[in-house]
Amino acid sequence: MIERDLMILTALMFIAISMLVYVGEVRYDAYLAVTILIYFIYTSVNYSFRSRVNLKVVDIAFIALFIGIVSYRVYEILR
Amino acid sequence: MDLRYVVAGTIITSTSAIFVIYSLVSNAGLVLGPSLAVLALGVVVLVSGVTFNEPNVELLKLYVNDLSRTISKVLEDSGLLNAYRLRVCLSDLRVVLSLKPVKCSDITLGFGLASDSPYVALPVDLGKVGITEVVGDDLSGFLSEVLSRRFKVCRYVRILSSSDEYVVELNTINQTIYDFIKIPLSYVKILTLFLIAKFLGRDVELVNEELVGSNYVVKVRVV
Repeated sequence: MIERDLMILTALMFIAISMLVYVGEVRYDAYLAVTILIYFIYTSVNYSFRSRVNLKVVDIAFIALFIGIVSYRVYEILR
Repeated sequence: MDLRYVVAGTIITSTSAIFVIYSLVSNAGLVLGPSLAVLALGVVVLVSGVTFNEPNVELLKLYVNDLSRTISKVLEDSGLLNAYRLRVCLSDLRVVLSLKPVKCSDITLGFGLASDSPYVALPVDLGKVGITEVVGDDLSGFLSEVLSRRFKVCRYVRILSSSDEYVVELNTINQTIYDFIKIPLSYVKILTLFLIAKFLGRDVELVNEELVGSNYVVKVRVV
């Protein structure tokens, strides 16, 4: 069932967000990037989740967002 | 689609969106990051709810359709399609479809002839899915536990009458299996009869069945 998958995903994200808050991170793109990474790692490892739901739209949106965040950071460094 | 995840996803998304707006308006940088992360999670839950589909359901639907066409043809050739008696032989874990009343002891699995009547006997062994004993004190509780909570066949089960004949209503049949109730040897019918027999500890026979809106009502008699 996807209850278990969603609960694990939520727990992983909660741990990551808590750690970022704990270290006093204020850059919002860092939170988004970590969340997106956790999403892709978890859904790749646990493929049964993907067999029950169609996450194509989320994948495209998250990849675009992640590329945007990374590009922006690279641009900031190079500027 | 699974409405529970849609509702949960909508609540998470809308709540986090409010926090995102609040953090942008009040320039609270520490709130913006976690709010966006939760918003992303809400979107995942929402999309999971909207696109949720049990794996292999389409394949199983196809299989049931093809199988029911074959069985219908065999029942038609045997003269069992319209006028038949459906009986549960509890001791042998079998459901028997026949033209005339037949003894359970005369029945073997599959198609056959007993007491000058053609019959079809199917095995029903719920032990394979872990249902080995009766749970609960009343029939509606037992049927609800198995049909509603375990197999998600319907929303709940009501016993409309339990005097001479038992009238059982399966309220709001699951949309996925609704069409399969209309086929000649619907497994919902077989399962319901078998569970009633198991609870009563007696053989039972189908008297009548009907679909009333999205509810399925069966009338059974203890043999």
